[in-house]
Amino acid sequence: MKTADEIAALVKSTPGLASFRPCAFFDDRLDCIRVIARDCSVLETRVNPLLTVLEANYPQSAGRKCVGFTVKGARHFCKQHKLDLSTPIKISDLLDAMLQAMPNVVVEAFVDHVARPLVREEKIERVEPALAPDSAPQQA
Amino acid sequence: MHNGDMDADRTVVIYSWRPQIDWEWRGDSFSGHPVPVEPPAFRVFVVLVREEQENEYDVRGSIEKWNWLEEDLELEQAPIEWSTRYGKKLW
Repeated sequence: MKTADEIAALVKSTPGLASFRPCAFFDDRLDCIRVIARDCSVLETRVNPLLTVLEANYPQSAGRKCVGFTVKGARHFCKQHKLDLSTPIKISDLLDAMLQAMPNVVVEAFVDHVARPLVREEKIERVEPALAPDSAPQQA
Repeated sequence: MHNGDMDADRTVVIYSWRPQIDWEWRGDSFSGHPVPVEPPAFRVFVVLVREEQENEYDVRGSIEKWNWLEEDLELEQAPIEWSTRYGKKLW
């Protein structure tokens, strides 16, 4: 079992370590689009089979609670809405497609009052295509 | 789908439990450090592991992601709606 100090040292010695930046990307391995505004411990709450909201478990005092969201079944979703996952997708196009695919008050309220302000304030402008195959996750 | 495999979801195993402690990384990637915090109540920690062919390092799986979910009201230490989220209960 590694100690907290050993884990911290391991993280800091990671080659190519970079500061976190708010982002949106296509997760090829789990077939979903992830929009992440803050790198923190999160609670995932499923709104419906397509949409999951990410909330900070320990929100910063003045910060917002919602720190992102996930659109599942991204390949099928994007194909249905003529969005090309192999190229960057405008985040506004993704949000419009979400409204079109899930026309109900809960999703409308989330998109208009939470998601749009979130991506605007965090300057998340597009969904990046899948990472290169050699961007492997951590080993179990 | 993963590497062209339409049934790749079936090779993902879900581990969930109610940990006694949570950790938050405080600060930036370079000067920050992990800080122990009391875990959120009524939530379970969920880790998705993709099974892989064992390699020379005895690695048999990769962590795809981890997160917290609300705990199921009936099955302790399982995430809410576990029976519809996942394929089947293994143990």
